[in-house]
Amino acid sequence: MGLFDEVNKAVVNQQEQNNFSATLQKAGVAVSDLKVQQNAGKLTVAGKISDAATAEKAIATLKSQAGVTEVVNLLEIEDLSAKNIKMKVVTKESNLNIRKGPGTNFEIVGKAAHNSTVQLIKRMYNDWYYIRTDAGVEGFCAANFLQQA
Amino acid sequence: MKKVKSLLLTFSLVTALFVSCGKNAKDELSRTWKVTEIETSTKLPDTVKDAMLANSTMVFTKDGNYTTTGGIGADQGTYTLDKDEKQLSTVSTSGKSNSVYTIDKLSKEELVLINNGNTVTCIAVK
Repeated sequence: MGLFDEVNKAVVNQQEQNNFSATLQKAGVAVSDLKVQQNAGKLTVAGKISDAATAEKAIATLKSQAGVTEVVNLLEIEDLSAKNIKMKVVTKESNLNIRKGPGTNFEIVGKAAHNSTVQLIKRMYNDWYYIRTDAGVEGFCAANFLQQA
Repeated sequence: MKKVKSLLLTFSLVTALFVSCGKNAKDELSRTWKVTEIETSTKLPDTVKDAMLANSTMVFTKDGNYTTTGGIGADQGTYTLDKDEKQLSTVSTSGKSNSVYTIDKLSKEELVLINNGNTVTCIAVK
């Protein structure tokens, strides 16, 4: 620590973001609002992309970088929060798992009750959404368990 | 004899001047400073900069201690000024890490510090 270590850290972090952004640009991949968190070779990538193919290309490009061992894909296609879209949970009987990331490999952070309604916040690069339940739980769930309310 | 007295007086005055100069730098630093501006070598988003400026203060005491609070980070430790009063060295209590800052400007009203190409401007809290 020191008098303004946070400033120096923010600059180093921004330089890293700029480097990743330049790498993606060079590869012809357009990601807006790119945010990359780096932790011991593991990258967590967020930002906006146009489609699933662009997301895959972005992840493949970042994975090929030296020192990168894993890339967590949190890329989104659309921010839906302002549209206030409500969807009904249409699981067979059980509650719907809400996860930490857009895939079944991510840990479960909560549940949305069967037949309850949830709000769509973001449409992710794959067939997953970032949602908020009536109880205020936020996380990711698969699109095929949701239907227009 | 008169010449010796005059020399002694001059020497005393010069010594007093040096002593008072050294005292002034530490005196000027020893106060509460509000962080008002951050200039970085790489441009930061305004949201990041604003978060770091929020309620950020640095407090230096005459006994050689410092405390920082707010968006700039919470830290405390000890500080020293170099002989020329151009550099400020800190030893943080947490982790015992050392840092050296160039004093770009120091007056009763303003403090400007540079580290790693990043500049932080503070104004004295009255």
